Amino acid sequence: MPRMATERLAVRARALVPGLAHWSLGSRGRAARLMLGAGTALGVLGWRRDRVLGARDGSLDLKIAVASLVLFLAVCVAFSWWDAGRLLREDGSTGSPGPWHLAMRRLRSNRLAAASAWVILLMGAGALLAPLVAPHDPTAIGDVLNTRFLPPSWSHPFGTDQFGRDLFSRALYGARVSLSVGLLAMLLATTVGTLVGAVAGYFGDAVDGILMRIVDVWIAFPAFYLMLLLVGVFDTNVPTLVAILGLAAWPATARFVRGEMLSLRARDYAEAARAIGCSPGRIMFRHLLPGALSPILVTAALSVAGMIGAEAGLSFLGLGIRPPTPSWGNMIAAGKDSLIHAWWVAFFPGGLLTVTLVSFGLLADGLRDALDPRAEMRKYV
Amino acid sequence: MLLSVRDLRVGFPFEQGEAWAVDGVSFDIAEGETVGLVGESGCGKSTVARSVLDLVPEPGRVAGGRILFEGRDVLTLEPRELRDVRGGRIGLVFQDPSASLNPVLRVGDQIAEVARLHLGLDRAASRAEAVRLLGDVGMPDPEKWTRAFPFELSGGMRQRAALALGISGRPRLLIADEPTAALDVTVQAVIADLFGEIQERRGMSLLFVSHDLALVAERADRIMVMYAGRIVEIGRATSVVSEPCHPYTRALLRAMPVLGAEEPLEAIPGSVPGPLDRPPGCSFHPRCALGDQECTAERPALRTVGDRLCACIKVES
Amino acid sequence: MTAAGVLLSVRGLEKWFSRGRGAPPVRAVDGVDADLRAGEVLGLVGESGSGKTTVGRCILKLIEPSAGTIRFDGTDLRSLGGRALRQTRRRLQMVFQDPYSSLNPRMQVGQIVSEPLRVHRATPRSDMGERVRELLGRVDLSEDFAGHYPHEMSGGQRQRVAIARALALEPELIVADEPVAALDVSVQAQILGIFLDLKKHHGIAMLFISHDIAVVERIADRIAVMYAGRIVEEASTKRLLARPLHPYTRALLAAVPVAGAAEPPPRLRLRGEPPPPSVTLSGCPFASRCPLVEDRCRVEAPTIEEKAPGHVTACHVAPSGVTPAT
Repeated sequence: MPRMATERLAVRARALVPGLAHWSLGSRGRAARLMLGAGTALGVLGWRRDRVLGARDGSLDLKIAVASLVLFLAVCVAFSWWDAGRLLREDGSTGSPGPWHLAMRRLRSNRLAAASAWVILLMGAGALLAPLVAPHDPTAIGDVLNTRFLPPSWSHPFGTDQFGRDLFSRALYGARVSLSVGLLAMLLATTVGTLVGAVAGYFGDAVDGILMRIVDVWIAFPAFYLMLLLVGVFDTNVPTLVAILGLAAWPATARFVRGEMLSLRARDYAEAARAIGCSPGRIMFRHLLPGALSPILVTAALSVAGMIGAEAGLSFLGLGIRPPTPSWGNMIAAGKDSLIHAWWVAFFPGGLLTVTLVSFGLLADGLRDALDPRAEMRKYV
Repeated sequence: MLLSVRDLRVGFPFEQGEAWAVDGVSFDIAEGETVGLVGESGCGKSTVARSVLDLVPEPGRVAGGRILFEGRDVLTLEPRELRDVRGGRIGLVFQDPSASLNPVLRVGDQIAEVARLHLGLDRAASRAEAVRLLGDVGMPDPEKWTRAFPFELSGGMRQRAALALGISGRPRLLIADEPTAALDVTVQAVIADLFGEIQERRGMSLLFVSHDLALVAERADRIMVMYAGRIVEIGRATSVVSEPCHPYTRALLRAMPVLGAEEPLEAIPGSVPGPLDRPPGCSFHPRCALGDQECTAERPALRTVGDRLCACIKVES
Repeated sequence: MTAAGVLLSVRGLEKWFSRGRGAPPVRAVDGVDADLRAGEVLGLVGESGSGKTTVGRCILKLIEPSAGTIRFDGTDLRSLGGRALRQTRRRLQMVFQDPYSSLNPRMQVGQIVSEPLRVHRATPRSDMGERVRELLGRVDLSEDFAGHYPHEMSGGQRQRVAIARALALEPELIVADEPVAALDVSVQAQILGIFLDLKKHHGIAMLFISHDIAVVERIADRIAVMYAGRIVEEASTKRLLARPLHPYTRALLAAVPVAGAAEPPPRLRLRGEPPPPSVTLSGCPFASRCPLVEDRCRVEAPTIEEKAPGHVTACHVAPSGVTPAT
């Protein structure tokens, strides 16, 4: 462990190259991950430098993709620098591990969940960087007669569809749609649902009564028909789909969060907080919600899968994202008539969809095990 | 000797390795005697009680030792023979009556079932036996209560029913694991007395496990004091309490508030070590007034000091 | 401070829980009067269903009383709401029974102990660390614990943290609800020692609630015995133990096991059990179990009367305090 001030400074400087300092300090795993991450980001930027340089005049999507890559690089550097500083301190630990640290540790040791997390990250990276990474323009219809229904090959990893469009690029762009709808709709439903549920659960009585009546009425509508109705009325693009799916799902979260609140409210430490003189707001957000966060997270992960599936379903039926904008759902629909002679048109989007849904499901499962409040009491192996 | 336990070791698996909840425990119980097993939480007394019937909960396991009941080692019995012993030769009463009483069966039916199994009675006879037993344990109007479900009974009555269940097989040894801990003080006294009465009337041996030293001392013939998985003192109840030998017993008695006593309480510094952080040698020495380097050398064996057994190298013979 | 330094004055406290139509309400507290002077410790003793925990919670307004007044330093707590109540809460604090659930498992000890200070903005941020250190020191915990989480600590240590938290705002009154019941004997003595220290050196008044009268004897100046939601006897600790008047108190004292007694104490055993709070009673609530019960007791509820200076009890049959109780 370097002791002298100049030595420490030298190590710190080396840390500006992500992972370099960590390697010499002995934290090999983290060093490898940092180097891999930063290296990949640089690699992509280099590989597509022509697009990167043209980003200023390019579409918003492209600008976002480039910006996020650069941001990611910056985060790698910053984290490397900060973490190296932390490692240089006497014992390297900032105190004892809290419940979150322990939960994360448990999650990481769960192989399936960890693998799922990586798959999702990969998928997300692909979606975010689609404008940079996609080999072809997803909507470009070129020489149709020569390029339609080409089987998977090096230049077209997923083959081409009936219009000669590269399916790999379309799949990447489709991932953008599916994942963004899924995540944003989940965020909407969870935020609204949590707020409503928390307020209802904490204040009880009249407030609870009114809010739960609204929830009851909402839930009474079968979700799918509600969505069909809304889709028929409004234009379908990503924002409206997010709104529709999110608003269809928030009541379930609200009910569930309310239940959690009711049970947590009776805990001694919540009473203690009242005895100290905490305001209801503080008790709700500082004491009760963090306790309810674990099941909320698990439900959220699961609901992402549900949202993605719902969007894919709607798009498949022609009611969601309309072609030519690619979405896994409408790509499968386009491919369903050519299953015999051009199986790849439906296979790849379908496969990606399946993998994504399963990954979120496994992640949710892993989260549930990791966040189990009884996990601490289960000292036994 | 009705029951002879030798070098019992029970382990539980932890991430860091196996830890000994019971770390080499040996004792005897004679016919018709009441023995109290006393210790604080985590000392292993409940585990000892359950081991006698080979009922250690998973993932724990009995890792060594012998438990000789009526001359045969309980740990090596065939499943059929073990079933005969459980309930028929050795009875068990838990702290929480919901652990002994099935909440969806009527009280009388549960007791009758045991009587049928172990005494070979027919339906009518076993029902009559159930009524008789409930009367024995002091339930008013036992006929009526045999038809009740456990949730209809109050705490004290449930424990009486659990006791009736425990003795319905006419066991020679009854093990009571903290039977009064969940009860109110006034009810505790009555139920503890009841255990004593039943024990005397039926000539059974009684192993009374409790954290309450005073409660046990009033009613047991002998007392065994446990600390961190080991027995540290065995002796006659009255003398252990009036002239404790082992430093832990002494410290425990000085830390217990006694009604009407003038002396100030003396707390025991530190806290009970968990099964994974037991100190070398004597487990109590870091907190002991007499503890020093010598105590770390090896684990002190139970040796005769005066009229009892004591596991401490610092106490004169 | 009101008359004769009385800090807390409770009159006619009642708490009923309704159970829906048809069913009679559950009576948890059925008319309790009590006074607590500054620096004094009142022990509240009772078994299950006695209402002692509910009394403690009502005093802190964690539960809203159904009837009665609770005067703290002259102000009726029932008339306070919102901000005023939160302000007054600084002077009344509570220590709960279960050290495993009374601390937020997601907060570090330092945060738990300093939260009262932050909520009331009582200490500038720069002094917070020092104050936490000082509070931990008062309960004999090293400052290293400030960064730990509750699940890393033993029951006794957690209870100390709970006490430190209660001390943060320098309260004048602490309600301790069975503070040692969940702890082992060896640890009990340590925690009792801390409470004794609080009483002696900081002059904090306490309402010490417990089912264990031997523990209460160690710390209380006066003891009130509760049964079925009412106080049945109250006197100074010495007097209560030497000359208990109410039959329930006598039975309670006789039921406590005494280690090292040469002869087992005379057995004064009660039949039956404490009545569940859902049963409404006429007459004396103790009548069904009382060894001295008379016809009058079943019909007419006894009222609290002073039988000897500073010694009150509610019983038709109890002897007057001047003759020795046999």
